[in-house]
Amino acid sequence: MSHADDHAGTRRDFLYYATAGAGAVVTGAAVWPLVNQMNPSADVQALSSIRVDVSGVEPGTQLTVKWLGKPVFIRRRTPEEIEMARGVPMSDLPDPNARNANLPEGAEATDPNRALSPEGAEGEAAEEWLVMMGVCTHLGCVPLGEAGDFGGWFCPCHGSHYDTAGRIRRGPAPENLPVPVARFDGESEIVLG
Amino acid sequence: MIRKTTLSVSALALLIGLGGLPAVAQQATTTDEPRTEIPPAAATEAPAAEAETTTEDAPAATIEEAPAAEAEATTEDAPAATTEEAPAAEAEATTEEAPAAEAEATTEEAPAAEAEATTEEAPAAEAEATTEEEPAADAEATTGQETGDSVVTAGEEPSAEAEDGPDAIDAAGEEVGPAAEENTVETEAVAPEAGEAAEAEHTEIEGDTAEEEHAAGGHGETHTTDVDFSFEGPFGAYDQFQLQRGLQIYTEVCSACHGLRYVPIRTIGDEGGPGMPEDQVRAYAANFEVYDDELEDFRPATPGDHFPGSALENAPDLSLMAKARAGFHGPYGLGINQFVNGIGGPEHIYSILTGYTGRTREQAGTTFYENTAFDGGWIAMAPPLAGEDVEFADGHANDLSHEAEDVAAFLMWAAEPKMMARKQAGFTGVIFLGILAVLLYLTNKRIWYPHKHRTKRD
Amino acid sequence: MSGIPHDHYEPKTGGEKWLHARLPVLGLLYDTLFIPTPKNLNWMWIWGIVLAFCLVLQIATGIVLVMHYTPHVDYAFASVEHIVRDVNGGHMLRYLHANGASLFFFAVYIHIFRGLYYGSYKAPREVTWIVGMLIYLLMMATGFMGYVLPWGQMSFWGATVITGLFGAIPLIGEPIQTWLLGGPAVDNATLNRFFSLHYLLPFVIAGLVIVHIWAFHSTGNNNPTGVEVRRGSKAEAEKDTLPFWPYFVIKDLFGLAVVLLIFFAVVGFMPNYLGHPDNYIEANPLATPAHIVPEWYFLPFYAILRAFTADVWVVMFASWITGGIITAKFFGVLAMFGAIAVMALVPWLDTSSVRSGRYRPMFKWWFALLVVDFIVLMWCGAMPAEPPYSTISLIGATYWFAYFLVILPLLGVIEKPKAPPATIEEDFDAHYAPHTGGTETIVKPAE
Repeated sequence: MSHADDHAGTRRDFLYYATAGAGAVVTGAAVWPLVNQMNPSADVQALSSIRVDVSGVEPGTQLTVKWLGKPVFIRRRTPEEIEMARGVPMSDLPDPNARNANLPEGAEATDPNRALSPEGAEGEAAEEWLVMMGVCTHLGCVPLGEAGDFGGWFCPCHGSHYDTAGRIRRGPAPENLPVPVARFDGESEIVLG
Repeated sequence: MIRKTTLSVSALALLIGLGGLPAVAQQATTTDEPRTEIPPAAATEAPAAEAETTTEDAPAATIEEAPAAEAEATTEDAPAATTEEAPAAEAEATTEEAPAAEAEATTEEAPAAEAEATTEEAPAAEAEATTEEEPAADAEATTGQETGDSVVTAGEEPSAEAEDGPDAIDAAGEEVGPAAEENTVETEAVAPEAGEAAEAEHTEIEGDTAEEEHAAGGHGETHTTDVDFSFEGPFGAYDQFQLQRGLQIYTEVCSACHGLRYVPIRTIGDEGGPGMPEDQVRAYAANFEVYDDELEDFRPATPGDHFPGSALENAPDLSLMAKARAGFHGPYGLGINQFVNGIGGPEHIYSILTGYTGRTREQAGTTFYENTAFDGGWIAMAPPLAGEDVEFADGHANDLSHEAEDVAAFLMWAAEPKMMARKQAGFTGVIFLGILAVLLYLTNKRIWYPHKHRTKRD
Repeated sequence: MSGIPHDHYEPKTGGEKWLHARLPVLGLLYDTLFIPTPKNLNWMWIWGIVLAFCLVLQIATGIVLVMHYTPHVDYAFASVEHIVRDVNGGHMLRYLHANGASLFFFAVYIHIFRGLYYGSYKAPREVTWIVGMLIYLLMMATGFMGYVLPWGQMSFWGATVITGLFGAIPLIGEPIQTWLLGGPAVDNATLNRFFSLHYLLPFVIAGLVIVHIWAFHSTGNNNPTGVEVRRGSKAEAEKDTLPFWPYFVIKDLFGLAVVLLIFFAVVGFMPNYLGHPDNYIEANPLATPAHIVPEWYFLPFYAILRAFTADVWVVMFASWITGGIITAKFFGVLAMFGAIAVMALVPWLDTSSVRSGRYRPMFKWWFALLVVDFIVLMWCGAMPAEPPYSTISLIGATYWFAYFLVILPLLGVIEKPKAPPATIEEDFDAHYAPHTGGTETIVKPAE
């Protein structure tokens, strides 16, 4: 085709671009699995959500479970504890943020915002359950339950005091104990994650 | 309990070129499961010539004492092999007068005459039998011949043959040893008394060549039924409901002995797998107990745990069984059968489950069961399925053949849970590379064009 | 790099000049990419690229598999199942890696036989050939050790049998075997060291591949005529050659795409076809599988290993003359490694004055028989070691050695080769001359 003209030249360019593009797509498709395999595998993902049977937890007792390698406190609070937590004015809280993964960012650290309510629960029953990570927000120690100056938790490492809603009240810890993603499934089962 | 009187006519066919081998008489016996009984019936030796015409003559000759009609049926194709070509072949027919004869489960339940036949050549085998005294007749013909690999089961109820199988115990084995049995052409038929001839057109190939008789005891050839599974072929996919049924069979039957230790329980909820709803997966998991290292105690399993391992030490784990066995081989080590039919793991499982002949033998205190699909011919596992072992919620057929198919499919999924994802990836890869190859081909032609056509232009 | 006259890299911008004065890496890339390549190369010359791709594929998939694999006898098998069942895309990675080994060997065999047919081993390319043979040996070692890692029955028993070969060496055999295994039998120590070496050797192979390429870039590619590129002047050389980019890169990539298309079909639709079902059973030191069969790519040499039994006269003779030191077992081992050794020595065994088999009428037939022999041996290796297969193996093994040690040296003397074309250009134009039409169909540019 000695008379190959500009028209043919355009076609030729298009062929080259198409080939290069297809090559790039195939290469990309080949590289992606090599990257993706490092994401959490199915067995790890399966552990990202666990179910905890809390039917045996009486008011005034707590359960500590391991989730994602960390302790989670599940406490069924007594009416007195709830009352004590409710009575705290927001201004007394070093960290006014609820730190509750189930609520929008920036929610206030009121007691109802800290508690986990079973579906349809009202009044005191709605605030009975407190579920939070048992890791001190200071340097990661595990606080002791039913201890400290505010009747909640006390971290022995550096003396952080948490109240009965797991909110930091005094000591070096900067934040309230975080509430993980959790929900009730039925009346006696809590799903974490 | 399946009780049945069978008339088994077993003819030992000596293959062409095997002159000199003595004819071995075979007895057909009637048994009552689970005991092996030597029937009180007299054994009649039928000359080879008679075997050819058995369908009409034999019943009359042998049935005298048997209320349940038993007829010999030789296949239309087979007689040549069994009789004409093998002059020395002897067929022996045994009949028995047994009250149990009437109690054959299948016959009672099925008023229509049912015939079952297995064959290597023709898929449709129908033995028609009418009966005068019994409302139903079950005719079954199994003819062993040399070198068959695949058996197509046909008939209204493919499983019937296999169900019947365990009942038939051929005493010939004890007389002449397994090596002789391998050369057996066995014809079994249950036909109505004075009924029409049961025609069995199909042969189940099980025997070995004469050469193997010399290798005493070597049961080299096994046969594998080629089942048409939904997941075969490049676009084949698992049938979710079949996997659920298979899971049910595994749970209710297999799991008593066999484990699935590499299979995480959560995967029974996977898309493309059995696809159980999440709550059912959880409830299912709770049926099992697992040992928890942290608790240092047993606890109910959760979906994140694996199925337990085998409960019996000599029961192999089934996680990978469908990939750890090959149903198809050869020919001549060329791998062509596997290329065409697949490796045949699930088919092998199906064939094992349906391949029991009903014969047993004791060895070193262990009972072995003859199985036409098992390498060596004798398997230590008692027949795990007899048909109607489970009731499916959706009312799906639960005869032996269907159960075996379902559980084989389930075990294939257990061994290869990502099969569909894999096929999809393969298909995508092929398409993409095909497009790329075409483009590269055109580009290659284009850039070389001036050089390959230089002389023309100059 | 090449001895063929061609344009060299000239740094143009200031940055290029700066770098070139310090590290002439761009010049190296330029010379490699634009190396003059004989323009008459046929489709048998694509396998080098396929092999390079295989090495990259195996290293890439291998490295990511290692992220999930546990080299311990208690966990290896389960960790492979973990990869297949749990890891994102792990099932594909695993099957790509397992079948990638098969593609690797498939390509290397075609590559080797191409070299044998076109005389690519003959002077001055002996070093290229020897390095290639070293790569092949390392590939075998890597492939063998990789097959042990899933810790299935075939893994275990294959390792037992193959390391047992070293035990056949007289006197020092058993200490060597124990040293290889790290104990009296294949066990955790063996698995760990095989894992380590399986990870290491591919990088050694990669190094040797660079040497291999360096070597044939120094001598220039062989080509189907076996005629050397004219090197008198650049103009002359350019009549025989075209630059590697884009002409051969695109051509090779097209070949690679077709090969990979088939490869993907195998991986996607029949990934276990080339494997052995027994390897889906966890290794059990107490129960040997009925038939131990190596991977298909080892079968020809496995057949040669088994061919020499104690009743073969050569073996009896060797045993007698060495006073019983050479046993049948040891003879088999010697034969197996010897079969590869004679192949490595072929540059000095082939006495022909003509390089390419295309112009050797008698050689063609003997060569075809060698290919058939190789396939027959492969088939025998998969069959049980009993008549008639043992006899066929013995005949096949004998021909293998006869080809290299007798036929090739004699053919060079007996045979009257045809005259090759004077130049590569002549050969190329003979294919693509306007009136003869050429042997390949020419696709016209789309108008």
